[in-house]
Amino acid sequence: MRQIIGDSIRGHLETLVLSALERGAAHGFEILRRLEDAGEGSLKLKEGAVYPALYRLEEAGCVKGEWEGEAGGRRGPRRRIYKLTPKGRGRLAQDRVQWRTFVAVVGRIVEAGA
Amino acid sequence: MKELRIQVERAVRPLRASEARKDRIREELYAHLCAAYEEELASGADEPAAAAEAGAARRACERLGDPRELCAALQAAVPIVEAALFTRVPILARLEEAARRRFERRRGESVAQWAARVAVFFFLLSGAIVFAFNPLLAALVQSEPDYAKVVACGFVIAALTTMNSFLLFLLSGGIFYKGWGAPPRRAAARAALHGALMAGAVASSGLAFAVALRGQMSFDKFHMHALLGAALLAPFMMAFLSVAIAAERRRYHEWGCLDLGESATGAKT
Repeated sequence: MRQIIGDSIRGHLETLVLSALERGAAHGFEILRRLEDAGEGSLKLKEGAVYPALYRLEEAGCVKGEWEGEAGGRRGPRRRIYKLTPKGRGRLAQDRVQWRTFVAVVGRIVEAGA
Repeated sequence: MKELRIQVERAVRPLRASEARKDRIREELYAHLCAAYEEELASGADEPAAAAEAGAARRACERLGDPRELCAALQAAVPIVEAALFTRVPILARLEEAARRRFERRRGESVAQWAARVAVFFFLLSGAIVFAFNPLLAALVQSEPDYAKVVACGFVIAALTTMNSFLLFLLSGGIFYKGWGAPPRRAAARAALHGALMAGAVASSGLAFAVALRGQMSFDKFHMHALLGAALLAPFMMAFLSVAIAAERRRYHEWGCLDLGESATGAKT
C-alpha cells in the first residue's frame, strides 16, 4: 500500500486525533500508535505534529488532558493523558459528515476522467 | 538523556509562551521521545551498546520531526494574547541572562553561601538606591530635613532588604537543591512552613523600620494595623516567591542551561 505522508493529511490531523481518542483515553505516543495501526503502516506522520493538534483541541474544549498519577511502576517522565469531551464527540461527528461529503465530491471530480 | 532534552529544547525554547506552558510541552515531548527511544533501542538489540544508544537517540529525534517546524506548529497553538505578552525583548532577555549568570550558584558553594552572596549584591543595590533617593525625598518633603535620621533610615531599609533577600534565597535554595524531588504537596507544605517561619523575620523588619522612623512620623493605630497586616501576609508572599524562584532554578538546571548549538532561527544560543 502506498504511504500517505504528513502533508496530505495536515488539515485532518485533529479529526484523526479525535477518532483515535474515541477508543479511550490515551497519551500522545499511544494516539500515534493507534493511528499507525489503523492506517496499517501507510500513515507516516512526524510524531511531534500530534501535540500541536492536541493543544488546539484542548483549547477548543474538545479534549481534556490530565497528568498520569505518580504510581504505576513505570520509569521515566510522566505522561499527559487525553480524553474526549462531549464537545469533542460532537466535533468528531461533524467532521465525519464533512469528510464523507469531501470524499464524495472530490472523488466524483477526480474519478470523472478516469 | 541529554540528546533527547536538547531536541526538545530546540523546539520549545524559542516559543513565545508562558513558562508554565513551555514546561508542560517540554515534559510531554520529553516523555514522548523517551518512549520512542526505548522502542528504537529494543529494535537495535543486535548492535553494540554504545552504538545502539546513539542510534536509538538519533532515530527517536528524527521521528519527532524538524524542531523548527515543530516550534512553528506549537507557536500556532499558543493563544495570540499569550504569545504577544511573552514576546521576548532582546535587551531584557540579555539583562535576564546576565542576572542569571550573576546569581547562579557556583560549584562548591553551599546554599547559605549562595544566599549570602546574593544578599550582599542586594545590600549594595538597595543602599545605592536608598542613599541616592532618600535625601532628595526628605529635602522635597521636609523644610528642615534631619539628614542623620535619613541616613539611619536608609541603612535600615538596606539592611532589611538584605536580610529578606538572604532568607528568600536560602528558602528557595533549600526547596530547589534539597527538596524539589519531594512530591509536589510535600514541597508546597515545606514552602508554606518556611514562609510561616519568616513571619517573625518580616515582623521584626517592620518593628525595626518603625524604630528607625520614630521621630520622623507619628505612629497611630493605622500604621500599626498596616504593619500587622504586612506581617500576616508576609508568610504567604515569601512562600510563593520561594516556590517561584525554586521552580525557575529547576527549569534552568534541567533545560535552560542546555547548549543547543543553533536555535530554531538559526542563531547561536
